[in-house]
Amino acid sequence: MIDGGGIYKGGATMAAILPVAATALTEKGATIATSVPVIWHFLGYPFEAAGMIAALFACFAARFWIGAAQSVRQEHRWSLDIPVTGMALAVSAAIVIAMRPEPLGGLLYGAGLGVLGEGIFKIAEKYLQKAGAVFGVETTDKPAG
Amino acid sequence: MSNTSFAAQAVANGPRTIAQPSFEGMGWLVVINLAVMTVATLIGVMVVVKLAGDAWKHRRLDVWLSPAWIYRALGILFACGITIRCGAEALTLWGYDPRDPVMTGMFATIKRLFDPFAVACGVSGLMLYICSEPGMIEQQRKEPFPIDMWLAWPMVRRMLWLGLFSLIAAIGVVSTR
Repeated sequence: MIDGGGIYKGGATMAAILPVAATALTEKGATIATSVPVIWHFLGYPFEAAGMIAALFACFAARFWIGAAQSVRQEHRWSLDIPVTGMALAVSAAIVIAMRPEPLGGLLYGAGLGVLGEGIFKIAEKYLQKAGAVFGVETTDKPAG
Repeated sequence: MSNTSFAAQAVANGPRTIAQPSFEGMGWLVVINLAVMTVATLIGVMVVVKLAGDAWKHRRLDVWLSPAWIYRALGILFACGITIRCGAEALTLWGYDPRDPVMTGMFATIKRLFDPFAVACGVSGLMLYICSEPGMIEQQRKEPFPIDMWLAWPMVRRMLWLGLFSLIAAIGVVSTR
């Protein structure tokens, strides 16, 4: 029950990230005049890395936080949850590339899309049940909601 | 600058730093603050939603001022305080942008407006705690003592993961903007 393995692994990851981050931070200027925002490119489209990271984090956090909230989710993890999360992440990445928001804007877009993904999940879950009934596929998973 | 907002004027006329000037250019401090405030907001919302859902589900069982109700109300009050306080702070930290002084100033003012509510939540939680403490301790000294502490461990684990991810995101955002 007490399975802390993941956290220790996470701690090891963090220990690896911190020195890299420390060097990255010392090289950045503190003011607008001295700082140069990192621009990433995807298929030739430029976008701010900060907004992208913020959007992806927010989207992931929203999906992770809401999506993992129900134990019903476990059985649909690979068939629905991951694809829907992937879609939400892709759409938020596309929005960041299209609108190039500031970090806060990226955060809000990502969070909004992550929450929207929950609605998509609900629809997909219902559809899956219906499809199971139509095609005679055994669906024993009746959500308790 | 024709804006009448003092906060916006302060941002517009202040040093054009990428984070708040009070960070004194220490990027690591920005990272820590950003990550901590973000994750505290997320965890706070998580706890409020969970406890409010529980309270609604068990509203017949845990009546007004029953020990379970008090215990849950304590959690809700503290979580609300943390959420409001850290959420407003996270908004100002994420939204700080000297190129947009009006928005930045507005976020700072919003934080000032919300802080008293956060304090009200926290202090009423403390009052409720102190008020119920003698009776609760009396209750908890009754046999059987042991409680299963690890029933909700998965949720705590989720909080820790969120913390890790928000730290990574904060590092990414601060080091690339």
